[in-house]
Amino acid sequence: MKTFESLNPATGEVVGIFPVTTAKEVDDCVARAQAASVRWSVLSFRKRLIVLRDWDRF
Amino acid sequence: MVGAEFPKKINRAPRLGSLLTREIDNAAELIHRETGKPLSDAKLEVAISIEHISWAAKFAPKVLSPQNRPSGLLMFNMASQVQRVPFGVVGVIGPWNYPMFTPMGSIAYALAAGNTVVFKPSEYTPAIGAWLGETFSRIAPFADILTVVTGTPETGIALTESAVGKISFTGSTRTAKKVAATCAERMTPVVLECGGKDPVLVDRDADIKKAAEVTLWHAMANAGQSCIGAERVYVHQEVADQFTRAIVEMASQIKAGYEDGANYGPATMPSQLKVIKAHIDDAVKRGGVFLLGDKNSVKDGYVQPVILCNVPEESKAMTEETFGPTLVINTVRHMDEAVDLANNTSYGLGAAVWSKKNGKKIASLLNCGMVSINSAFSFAAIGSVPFGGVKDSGYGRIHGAEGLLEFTFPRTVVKTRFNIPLQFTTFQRTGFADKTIMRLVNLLHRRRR
Repeated sequence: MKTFESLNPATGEVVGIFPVTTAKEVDDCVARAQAASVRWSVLSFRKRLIVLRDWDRF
Repeated sequence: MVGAEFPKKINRAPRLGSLLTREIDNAAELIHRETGKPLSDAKLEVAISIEHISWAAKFAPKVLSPQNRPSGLLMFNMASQVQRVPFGVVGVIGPWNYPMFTPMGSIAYALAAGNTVVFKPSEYTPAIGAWLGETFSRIAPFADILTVVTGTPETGIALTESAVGKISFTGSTRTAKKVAATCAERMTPVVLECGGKDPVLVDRDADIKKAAEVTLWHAMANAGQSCIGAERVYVHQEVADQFTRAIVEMASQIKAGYEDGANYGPATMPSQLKVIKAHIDDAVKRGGVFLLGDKNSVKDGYVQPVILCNVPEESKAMTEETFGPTLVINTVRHMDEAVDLANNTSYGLGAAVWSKKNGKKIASLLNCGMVSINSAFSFAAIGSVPFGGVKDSGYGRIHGAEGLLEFTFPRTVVKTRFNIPLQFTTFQRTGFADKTIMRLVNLLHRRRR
């Protein structure tokens, strides 16, 4: 797996090492997201709001 | 280990409630380390991001619920409705300057509208991107609602070439044009949020001290790395001296650095330093004068505050986005001239107007997407108003009702409520029906004297 570093621009410290996602992997992610979107889009606004609220705050 | 070492305090099993709110400090620390911006700025960024998630989720039902529309007299037997349909998957390509706030303007609104999201953070800020994906997965009811794909620009290109239903891109105009061209191949719709060359117009009746204080921040905050950062000031000649003296005095007190107490950090993307230096050099070569700073202000990854005056309008510092803590102050004879110069640019993102009496009038003459009067940046923190530009600054909108609508398409559905004797949509149409429709049209649309 190819990776790259994220550097702190002030100190040069390595903040993290992350995968370089390939085109094939991106396509796979999009396909899975497409499948998930069928379930996500049929949720009521209320149910989606609860999820976003859990992530955020109200 | 692949991934960033996330702060240790993470609560591994959150239930209902406010995950990001509780983790403001952790997120801000990560943004601080990855972009170099001061911790307090990073906290502000997280807070505003949270505000947008909240607004999008709360107002989605109001903005996106099906709307009944009048069918008109000719079609009075039909029930007409417009539904808003999510695209499926929205691909979000984020920038590094506000690695949480900016993409959130797409992510939160796309999710609230019923899309799933594949998010490619900038290669300069993958850690905060990955962190957003990780925190979301902890509260997600099932997988793949928000997916984060880190990588190089090639990863972003792959996303624009994928089967996503829409792309939301934030970045340079140059890259945006390539994104739009790639998306055109599949007819994938795009939202493009690009750069700006935002002007500040200072009228003679402005509160000069306030205008100077806020404009300094407007230009230099986040090391000038804001698409809606002030880059040009047009100040009325009657108050030019007063404004210039005030802003230069205040600017001489601020400094770039990474330590506590620094007002802003380094250039997050080192290659930008060359652009900033080239703009300063070009401005001075063409007759611009340093009011603060000098040719050595760009040094060791940092840019100390630079203020220039009398810079010719055709110089790079006036035509191209500098994206650094530099500001040009040019004097105008009257506000009409300020408006003309402000509009004389390929960009059209934001603007600020400082005037006690004429703020709204001046704002109405500016060819750009957002104007703040007697303030700066404020529109970005207001959930209800759209954010975006015109011309080289891009098209489409994030935030507000427009931002929710952006991540859906309208589906018109009309339904016959009852059958009437007069049928128009049939080969069995009678002469009587034809006459009736002509009579009705005449009656409804005839010019009245």
